[in-house]
Amino acid sequence: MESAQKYESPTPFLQRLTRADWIYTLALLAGALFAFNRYGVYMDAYEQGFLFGAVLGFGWLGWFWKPVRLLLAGIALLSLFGISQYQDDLARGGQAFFLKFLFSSQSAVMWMNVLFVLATATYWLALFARSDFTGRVATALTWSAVLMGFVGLMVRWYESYLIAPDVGHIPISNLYEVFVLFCLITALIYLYYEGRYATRQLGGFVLLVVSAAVGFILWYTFDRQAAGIQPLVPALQSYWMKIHVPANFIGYGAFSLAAMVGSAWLLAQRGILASRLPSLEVLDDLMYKSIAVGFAFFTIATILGAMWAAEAWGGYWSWDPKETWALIVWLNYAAWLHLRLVKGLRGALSAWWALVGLLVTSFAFLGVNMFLTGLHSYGTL
Amino acid sequence: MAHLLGAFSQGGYTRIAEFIEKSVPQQDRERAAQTYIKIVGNAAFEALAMSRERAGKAVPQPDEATLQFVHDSLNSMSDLFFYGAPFYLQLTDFEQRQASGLQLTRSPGKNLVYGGSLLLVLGIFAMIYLRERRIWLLVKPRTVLFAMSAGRKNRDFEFEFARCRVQLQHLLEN
Repeated sequence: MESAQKYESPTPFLQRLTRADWIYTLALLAGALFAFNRYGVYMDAYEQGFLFGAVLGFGWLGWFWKPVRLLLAGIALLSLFGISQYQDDLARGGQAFFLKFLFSSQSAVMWMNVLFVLATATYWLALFARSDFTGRVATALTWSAVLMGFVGLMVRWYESYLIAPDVGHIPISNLYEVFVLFCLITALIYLYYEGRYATRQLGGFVLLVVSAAVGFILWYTFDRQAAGIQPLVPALQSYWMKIHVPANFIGYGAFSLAAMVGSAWLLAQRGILASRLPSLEVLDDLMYKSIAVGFAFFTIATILGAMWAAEAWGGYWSWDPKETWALIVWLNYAAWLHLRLVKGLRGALSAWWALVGLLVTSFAFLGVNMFLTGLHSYGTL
Repeated sequence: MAHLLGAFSQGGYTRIAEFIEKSVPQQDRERAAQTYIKIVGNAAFEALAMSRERAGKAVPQPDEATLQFVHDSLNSMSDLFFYGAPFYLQLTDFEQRQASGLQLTRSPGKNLVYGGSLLLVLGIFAMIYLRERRIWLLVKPRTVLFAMSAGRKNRDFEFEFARCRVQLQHLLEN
């Protein structure tokens, strides 16, 4: 691989940006200015900070990872269309054609579910048939699922304000909503690495976790009727939630991805599917990168959580079960990273460890809500 | 009869039923049970009358309401054994007192915590994304030996080595 590399003259980052990048950035800025013009008077300083911070954040993300530009444009257009269909009347969600079958939050999330399951099956088909075309279809399905999922969340955000202005909140407050978020973030992290490593063979593995989460969403929707929008409990009515929860889920998503790559590593090492999967080195590297990203964001999320706890409960850390388990997860991956970076841990042990890490992570995510009670009991089963 | 009342006081009707099953033949059981229940009931009524008399209150008449009261009391005393405690607590009176609990916290080390957290995050990103690398060039007449070392071995390093080699070659050829 070394000798195959061609000479490329080093270009500064800004010169590598294309016209599409600048159009994207200007569109973001225009959107933010429009929102500021129209709703700025209702926003406090934090919200204004968030608004323009989002321009910087998403602008950078789009420059760094090009497909995000198209995804964001799609989310914006479809969400705005969905919102415009409501005409300030929540009841139209069950009547207007586009809302009932496509863009009302629950329909959009259903589409996301269906597309994720289809994408999983297609990825596996592509893996077994060694078909590049099928693989590209699977990728397209995954992107569509992500698009529909985000549109669902955006429209849901708007719907919550239609119920009553003081009920409105960002849709990451209960177990149903965060499961949707989990699916989306895990799939997005996967899609990033898929492009980065130019390999579609891992899609089937990673989307298994996403499909499991989809199964949970379906059970939760139909068996528990949990898809409704509930008012927020006072402790959650805070701007901290908007950053604490997504940061946590980047962590959970990245750890899940690492676990599934770990399982692929273990299979490939035993010769199962070895000729179809990427090389062990690539899998190992992917596992490391994913855990590294997850760990960084999990740290940020835990710190933000502590700050929020200091504000809401009066102390940074109260040894609430969720906090204790977050610490266990954090220490688990800290040990993994430490052994890898300092002692050069590689091979079966690190793969098994990443896989077992998924159990620890899912207990912190789900098990704590199911079996333990504490301050974080927002999404009980 | 003392035996019967003793059994009731130790385990309620359940204990009496066990006693009947153990010592009374099958065909007589129902009759025995009715008799025993009646005996317990009468004894309880007498006890009620005696305790009222001792307390200087009106002695109850064996009318329907009183008998129903005795019956219900016995039932609940019997069921108390399922509860598993020798006595039963009941709220008889409740008066609500309004109160507010105030909790104050003071964190003088707040800025230290913020600073420390920031350093922690910066440290983690530095740990992951800053890689120390060294480039070694041994320049001899007509040959340049190129080597690279890094504190940590990973896949990116291999790519970087390849890229540097190509760029170095390009530099030397032109």
